[in-house]
Amino acid sequence: MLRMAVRTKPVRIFESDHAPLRLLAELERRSPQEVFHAALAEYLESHRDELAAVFTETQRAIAAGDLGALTAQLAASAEAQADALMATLPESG
Amino acid sequence: MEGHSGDFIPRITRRCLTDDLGLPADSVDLLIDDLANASDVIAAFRDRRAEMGSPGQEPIRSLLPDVVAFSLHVGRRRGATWHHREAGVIWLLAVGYHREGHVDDAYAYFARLKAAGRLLPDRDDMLAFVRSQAPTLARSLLTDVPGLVAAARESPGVIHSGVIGGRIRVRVVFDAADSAMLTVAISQRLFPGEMSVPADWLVRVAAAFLPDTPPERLSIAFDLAGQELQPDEVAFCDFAA
Repeated sequence: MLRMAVRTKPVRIFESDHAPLRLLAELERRSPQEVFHAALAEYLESHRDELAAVFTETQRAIAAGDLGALTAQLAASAEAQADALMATLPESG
Repeated sequence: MEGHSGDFIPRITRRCLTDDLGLPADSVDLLIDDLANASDVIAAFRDRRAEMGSPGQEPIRSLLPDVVAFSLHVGRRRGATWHHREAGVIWLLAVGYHREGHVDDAYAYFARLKAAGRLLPDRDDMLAFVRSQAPTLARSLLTDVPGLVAAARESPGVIHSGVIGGRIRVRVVFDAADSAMLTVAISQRLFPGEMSVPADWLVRVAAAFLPDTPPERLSIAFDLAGQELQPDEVAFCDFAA
């Protein structure tokens, strides 16, 4: 999993998440920060395979000097990026 | 189309290239310098708008208030240029001949295109733009990143800055204090513009800086050689061999 050193920084959370976060913290006698930190670590752990796959396939393309493969990898998110850009256009035009 | 020295990336809509300038549809994939050789309007667009960073003098009134585009004068021809700030792109939207009071006047033509929803870039234009960035980024990952890492290793503790493919700002530092460690901070905001760097691009950039790091050893860093990260940065690190 991704390792994380602990240092605090303000993070905004949804208002509806505040109550359950506080409840869990009190039940476990931990601070809300510790519960949030543990939840994030669990989330990263559950998504480790996806992250590792992207990381590893990129390393392979770079080790091979494969410009074509690297270009294809970087273009994989093009559709989502195009959709995001379309959402920024003025409504009339 | 790539290669830009102004803050905005110059692009031309496919409709403008084909309908207004008579170029083939696949010319949307050409470099701006190649397109400039094919059309003096595009050359003027590149030289006066894209490279000089000038927005233009006066907005085209027939397109206001929805679209704040500016008129590009090239002889009797007029072009409509529009800064798409979120994308960091300046678009050449349309070109026509200025015939004062005539039904085919360029400004009336621009207004008709707008009314028909054909003035602004469409999804294919956006897709072509996004895809055009991939080869530049890939080349930069292969050629620029090793240089940045080498420079960081040569001067431990000194933060080196770079821009991957002209779009992703990075800072890298080699810390030789205890266990040698390489840390790269990657901006999550695409430059130019206001869009976020796609998550997979962040991971791919990190992989380029840490090519020998097994994924299970990849760590998130919360500072850069003891200095605070910028608010838009995410940083990765690993012990360096």
